[in-house]
Amino acid sequence: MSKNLVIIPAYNEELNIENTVNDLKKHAPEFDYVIINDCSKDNTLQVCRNNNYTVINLPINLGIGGAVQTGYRYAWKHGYDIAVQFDGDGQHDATFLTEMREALEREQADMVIGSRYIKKEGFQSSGLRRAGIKYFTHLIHLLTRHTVTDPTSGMRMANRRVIEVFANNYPGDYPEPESVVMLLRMKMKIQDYPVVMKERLAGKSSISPMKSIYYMFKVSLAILLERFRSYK
Amino acid sequence: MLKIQIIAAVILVLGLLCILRMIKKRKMELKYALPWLIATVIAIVVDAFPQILFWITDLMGIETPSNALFLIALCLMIALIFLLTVVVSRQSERIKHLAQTVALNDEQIRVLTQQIEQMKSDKLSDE
Repeated sequence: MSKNLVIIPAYNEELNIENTVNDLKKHAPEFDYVIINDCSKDNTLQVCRNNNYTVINLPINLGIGGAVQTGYRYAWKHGYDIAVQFDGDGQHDATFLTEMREALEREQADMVIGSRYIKKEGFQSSGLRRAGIKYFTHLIHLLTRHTVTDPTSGMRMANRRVIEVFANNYPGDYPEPESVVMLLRMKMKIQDYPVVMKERLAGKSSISPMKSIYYMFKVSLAILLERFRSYK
Repeated sequence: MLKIQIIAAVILVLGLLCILRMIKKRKMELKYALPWLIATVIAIVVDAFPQILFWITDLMGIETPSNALFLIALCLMIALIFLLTVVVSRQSERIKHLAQTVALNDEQIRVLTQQIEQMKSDKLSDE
């Protein structure tokens, strides 16, 4: 029986965090969970304390990269075999977690990425965002000859090997595509799994349109550099 | 091509490769290396097409291209140092906050440990 953990990075999710945890308890009971409160300015922490949720309360805001890495360090420290990232805003659906875990074990994959773009069901994101994601899929394929259909997906399940890597090294901003390339360069096995995601329930997303341009440029550069890092 | 253009190109390209190598080796954060990368690339382009510099010189009403070059380089350096000052200030604030958090946590751990020791010895003396 494997020890499974859900990593829930949360920044200002006082309105969504209870629904998220309830979803997990109901549909993925074989998973433990840990909320990483990234120094939220709202009442996220208080809501978690009221419900007696497992929380790691960061003393300063680290961003999604730092928060998720904290989760991976927690997973490594507590001996988890499998860790899955799960958004605190209600966009992810816990009913897929068991299937993803089974797929990971069956295919002997190091990482399973929940992808919106295999079956193209559910919330598909705005056209501009989708074009950006497609661009990254092509860029990653060009550099690694591997196809990742949803490289920005925050719903990723990792085994112990990947937990160890991410606990030690995880990109700071916009970490998803870069970290995927990092794993591919280490010859890890990455599988896509079709999932359905929902539209954000309440609150605001943390990526604005201005930041998107910076995102595209910075991540492209980071991916290119990652391609040239050497791993034994 | 002037001699200076070739020398500048070599130095700039070496500089660029050096920066990229440091990012690759995780000695520099991409986020903070970006201004340097962009500045180096722009410098290489102007080195290859000096007409750009001549055009800017006329546009700004400056007497010679070398004056314009120094002015632009100085402004860039000032802007970069200013940016770094802002970054350093922010980091300093965050470190202060971290230090305080660690100190407060240490004290709480110390107090709790004492209480546990106390409870253990109370239990032993009860028996």
